Amino acid sequence: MKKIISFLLVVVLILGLAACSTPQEPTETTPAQTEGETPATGDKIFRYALAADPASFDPSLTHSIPDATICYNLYDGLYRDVVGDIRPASAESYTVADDMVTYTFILRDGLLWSDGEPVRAQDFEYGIKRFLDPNTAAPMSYLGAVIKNGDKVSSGELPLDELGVKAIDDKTLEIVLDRPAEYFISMLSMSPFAPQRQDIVEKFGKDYCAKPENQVYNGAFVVTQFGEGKLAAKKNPNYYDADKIKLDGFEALTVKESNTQLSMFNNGELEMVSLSTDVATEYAGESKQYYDGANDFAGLNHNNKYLANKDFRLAMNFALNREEYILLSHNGLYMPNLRYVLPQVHGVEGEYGTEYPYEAYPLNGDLDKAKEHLDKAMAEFGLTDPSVIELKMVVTDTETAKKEAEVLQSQWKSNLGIKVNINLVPYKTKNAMLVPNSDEFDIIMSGWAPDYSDPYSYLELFISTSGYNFLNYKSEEFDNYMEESTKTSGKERMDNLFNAEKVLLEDGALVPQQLRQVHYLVAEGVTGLEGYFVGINFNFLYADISR
Amino acid sequence: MVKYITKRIGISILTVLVLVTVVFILVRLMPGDPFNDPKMTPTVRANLNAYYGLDKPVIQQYATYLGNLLRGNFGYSMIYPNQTVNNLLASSFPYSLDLGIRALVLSLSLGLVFGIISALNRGNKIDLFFVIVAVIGTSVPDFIMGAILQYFFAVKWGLLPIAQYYGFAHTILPSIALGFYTMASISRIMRASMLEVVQQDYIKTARSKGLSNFRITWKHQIRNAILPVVTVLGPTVAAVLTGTFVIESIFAIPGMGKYYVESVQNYDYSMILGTTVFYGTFLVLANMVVDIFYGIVDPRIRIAGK
Amino acid sequence: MDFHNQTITPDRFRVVGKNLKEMESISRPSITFWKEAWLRIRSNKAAFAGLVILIVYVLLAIFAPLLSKYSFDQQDAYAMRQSFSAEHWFGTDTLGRDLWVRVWVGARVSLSIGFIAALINSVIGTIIGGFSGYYGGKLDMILMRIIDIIYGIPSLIINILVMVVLGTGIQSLIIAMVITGWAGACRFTRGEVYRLKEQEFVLAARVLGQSTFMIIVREIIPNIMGLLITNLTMAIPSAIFREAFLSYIGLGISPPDASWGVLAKEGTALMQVAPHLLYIPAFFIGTTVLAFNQLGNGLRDAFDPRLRGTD
Repeated sequence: MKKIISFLLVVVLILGLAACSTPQEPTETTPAQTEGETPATGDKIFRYALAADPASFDPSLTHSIPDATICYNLYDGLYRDVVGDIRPASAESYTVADDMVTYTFILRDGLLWSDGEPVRAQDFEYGIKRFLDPNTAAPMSYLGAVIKNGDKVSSGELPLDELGVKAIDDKTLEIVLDRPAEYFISMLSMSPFAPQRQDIVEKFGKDYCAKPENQVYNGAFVVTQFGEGKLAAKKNPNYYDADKIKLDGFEALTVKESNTQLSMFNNGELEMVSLSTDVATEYAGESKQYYDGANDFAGLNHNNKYLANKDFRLAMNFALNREEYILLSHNGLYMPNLRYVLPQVHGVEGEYGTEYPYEAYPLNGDLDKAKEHLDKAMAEFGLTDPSVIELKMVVTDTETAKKEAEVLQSQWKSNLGIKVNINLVPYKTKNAMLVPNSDEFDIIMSGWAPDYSDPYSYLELFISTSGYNFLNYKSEEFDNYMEESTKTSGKERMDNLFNAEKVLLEDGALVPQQLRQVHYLVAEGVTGLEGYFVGINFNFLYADISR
Repeated sequence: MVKYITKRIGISILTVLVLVTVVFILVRLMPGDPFNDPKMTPTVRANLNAYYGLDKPVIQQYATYLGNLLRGNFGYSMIYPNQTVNNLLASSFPYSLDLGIRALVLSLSLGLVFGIISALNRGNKIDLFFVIVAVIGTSVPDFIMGAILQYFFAVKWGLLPIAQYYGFAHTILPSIALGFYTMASISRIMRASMLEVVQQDYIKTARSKGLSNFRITWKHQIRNAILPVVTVLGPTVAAVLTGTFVIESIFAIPGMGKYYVESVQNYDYSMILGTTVFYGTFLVLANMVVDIFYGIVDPRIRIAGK
Repeated sequence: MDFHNQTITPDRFRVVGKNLKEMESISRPSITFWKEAWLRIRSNKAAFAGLVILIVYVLLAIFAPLLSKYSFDQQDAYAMRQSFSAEHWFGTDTLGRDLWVRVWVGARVSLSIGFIAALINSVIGTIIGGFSGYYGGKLDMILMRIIDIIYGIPSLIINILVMVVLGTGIQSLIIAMVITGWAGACRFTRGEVYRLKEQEFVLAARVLGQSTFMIIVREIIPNIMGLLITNLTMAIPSAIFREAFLSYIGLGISPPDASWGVLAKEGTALMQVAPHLLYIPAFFIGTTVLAFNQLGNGLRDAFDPRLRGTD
C-alpha cells in the first residue's frame, strides 16, 4: 500500500515539474527594443559588465564614470580626449583671443545626427545651455562654473542667454570663459558639453532618453536597447569618423557580483572584466592595469581638538607604513600615494609627476619621526598616555573600505597607541558628511577623482572658502598659491600649483593613502582597449576584435 | 461568504494606505538625502531638490504623492532620472515574478511530496534521505547555496548557464537556489504534521471503520496535515517574492529585488515608495487569498471567524 | 517479544488475589514532568547529540578565543589566505587573521543573535497571536492589519533607522530583527489558535467556567507547544540567516568583529581562490542548525507523550 502511495506521489511530483517546464520564457527580444532599433549585426560586439544599471544616457544628467564611459561613445563634442591626447572632434579647429577667455570654434563640414539632420553650432549652444539650466537640475552643473556666468545661470540668478556660449552661425561657436583655464579644451570631451537637439528634447519632455528611440546621437554608436539589465548599442553610420570605428557595437551588461562577472569572462561571454583586488593577484601575469585617477586619502577634521595640531597630524602620517597598508588591504595592487596629486595628470608639457617629483612621507613610514611629532603634540595637549586619545573614523560599508579602515586602525594603535573607532555607514550617508564644519567625523575615508587632467582639479578642494573643504583646513599660504595659479599660465602656473601641494602635505592636512589602479583582463583577440584616469574608465572607441 | 470577502478587500485597501503613509514618514526620517555626490555644490543640490519637489512642505509633498498615486502614477525615479517608477517596476517585476513562481512551485510540490513520503516511510532509509536533504536545505543561507550551485554546475562543470535570464536553462539554478530553503522547511512541517495527524482519533476511527489506507492517507491525513503548511503559506510567499534580491544579484537577473534594496541605500524616495506600495499591495492580496482559501479548507473557521 | 507467534497459555499467569490497596497503588516511581522530559531527551540519540554539539560550540565560543595566541583582529600581511596548517588550524583569511579564532568569535555573535532574537520573537508573537486568535473579531482584525503593515514596510528602512538611532552592533541588530520578525510567530500561533478554539476540550473548559486567560495558557498553548517548539528551532536558523543577509548588505556588525554570516560572505567573494573561507563558516552554520533541529524535535517529543516515536 505504501508503495502505491509513494508511486502516486512521485507521479504527482513529475507532473508538477512538467508544469514547471512550460515556462513563460522571458523573451530575448525585450520590450525595450522597438521598431526601427534593430540590434547590431556582425560579431564585433564589445561586451563588458557594470556593477549597476546605467542611470541614464541623457548627456546633461550623467554623473558617474560608468555612465560617462557610455556617453563618450554615443555623442561627439567639440574636442575629444583620447587617453590624454586632446584631438579635434566635431570641431576642426579653434582660436583664442588675446583676452585668454574668448574661444571660437569652427565645426567640420558634413556633420550629421543619426536621424540625418545636420549638426549645427546652435545644437552645441542648446546642449550647454540645457546642461546649466536650473530646470534640468544636472548633478554636474558645477562644471559650468568655468564658463562666463556659468555659476549664476545654474543657480537661476541670471537667465540662460547671459551664459557665455553663443552660436555665431551654423558652423561657428563662441565660448567665453569666466577666467583663463588652459584645461578647458579637455573638458569639452565630456558629454555635458555635447550638442543636443532642441526639437527632440521638447518632443519627449520628461521622457527624453527614457528609451533608445527618444534620442538622436552624433557619436560613434547609437543605443538599441536600454533596460532589463542591458544597454546595447550599434555602430552609427552617420558618424563623421565612422571608418575609423572597427566595432559593430557594444553591450554593457549589469552584473552586480564580481564573482559572476569573472565567471562570465572566463566563459567567453565578456570581452573584458575588471578584477577585484582580492582576485587580481591570481591573474598577476595576464592582467593589465591603469590608474583610474582616484586618489584615496583619510580626511582629517581640523575642527577636532587633536587634529587641529600640526604635529599630531604629521605623527599620524609618519606612523603609517604605506607599503604594508597596501599589501594588507589591497594585496599590493594599488600604488601607495606619498604625495597628493596624481602624478599622471598634465603638467606643463608632459606628466606632472615627472616634471615635479616629490615624496612627502617615506614609503615604510618613519616611526622615530612619528614619535617625535607625537610627543610634541602630547606635550601641547598636556597628556602622557596616547590611548586617551579617541578618534571617530567614518567609512563606507563595503568590504574593501572595511579592510582599509581596519589596517589603518591597527597601525595607528600599534605605532602611536591612539584609539580609532570605526563607524560603517552606507555610501550616501558618508557623502552627506563631506561638508564643511561637520561634526559627524574626526577622520573620514574619502577620495577624489579628477574632472579634468590638471592638478587644480585635486587641489581646489582645500581652498579655505571652498564648499568642498570638509577638512576645514585653513592655510593662507595655500590659498595664496592657488590664487596665483589662476592669474598665471604655463610653467609659472604649474609652479604655483606645486607649491600649494607642498604646503598641503607639509601641514599634514590629510593622510594620503593610495592611487587606485584597476586590474583588468582582456579577451584574446581584442585590441585597442585602453584605460584612462579622467572622466571615463577605459576607452574602447577604437577597439577591434579578431577571432 | 461574499460579505466576508468584501470586508477583507475594504480592510486591505485601508492597510495599503496606512502603509504608504508610514513609509512616507519613515523615509523622510532617514538621515541624508538622495543627492550626495561629494562634488555637488549647494546650487546643484538646490536645483535637484526643486526638480523633485523636495523643497515643498512635507504635507504638500504627501498630498501630491497621494493624488498621483490614486491615478496610478508613481513618479520619476531619483536615481534613474528619465525613468518613471512605473516603467522600472513594470519591466523588472516579470523577472522576479517568474523566478519566484518557479521557486514556489518547486518548493511546494517537492516539499509536500518529500514530507509525505518521509512520513509514510518513517524510520527507514527513504525517510533518512529526505530528512538529510531537508536539513541541508534549512541550514544553508540562500546566497551560499546560490554561489555554490553556480560554481559547480555552471562554472566548473559547464552544465548550465552562469547568469542572466533568457531561456529555460537559465531559470534552473536560480529557482533551485531560491526555493531550496522553502522546500526543505515545507517538507519538515508536512512530515511533522502528517505524523501528528496520524495519531488523531479520527484516523483511528477511519481505520477501524475499515477504510483503505489509501483513502485514509489522501482524504483524511493529507487534507488535515496540510493546514499548518497553509498557515505558513502567506509568509512563505512573501518571503520568497521579496527575497529574490540575493539570487538576482548572483545570477545577474534584472528583477525587482535590486530596486527594493538599492532604492533604500540610494535614498531614491519615489522608488522606495513605489516598491513598498507594490509589494505591500501584493502581500496584502496574497494574505487575503490565503485567508479565503483557509476558509474553504476548514469550514469551521469560515463560520466562526466572521 | 513476538506476540504473533506465541500462544498465551494459562501457565503464564499467576493469581495474586484481590488486594484493593495494591490495585490502586501507583507502582511507578513518581517523577516530575521536567525530569521525565529530560529522560526522554537523553534517550533520543539524535536530540542528545544535537544538545551535545551545541554545548560544545558554546564552550568553544567562550573559551577558544581566550586560549589562542592569536587575537581575532590580528593581521598578518605575510600569511594571507592560507589553508589549514599547524600554525593556523583553520587557515587565515584575506587579511592574514587566524580563522579558528574568528570562527569562535563569530560564534559568539551568531549564536547569541540567533537565540535571543528568535526567543523574543517567539514569546512576543505567541502571546499576541494567542490572544488575537482567541478573541478574534476587532482585536484580531486590527492586529492582523498591523502585521500586514509591518510585512509591507521594507525591513531595510526599519533596520537603517534603528542602526542610526542606536548605533551599530549586536543590540541594535537584535532590536531591528525583533521589530520586523515577531509577526511570523504571531501569525502562526493565531492560525493554530483559530483551529483549536473550536475544539471540544476548549468548549468544555469554557463551560466549566475557566477564565479566558487560563484557557489560552492552560488548554490551548500546551496543545500547540509541539509545533511552537518546532517553529522556534526553525526560527533560530532563520534569525542567523537574517543576520547574514543584513551583513551581506553592510548593515551588520562593525569591523573587525565578525559573525558567521560575515565570514561566509567574505568566503563567497573569495570562493574561487580560497574555498576554505567559505566552507568552514558554512559548515558551522549547517551543523548548528542541524543541532537545533534535532534538539527541537527531541524537545517536542519529550513534552508531548502522544508524539512519542514520530521521529
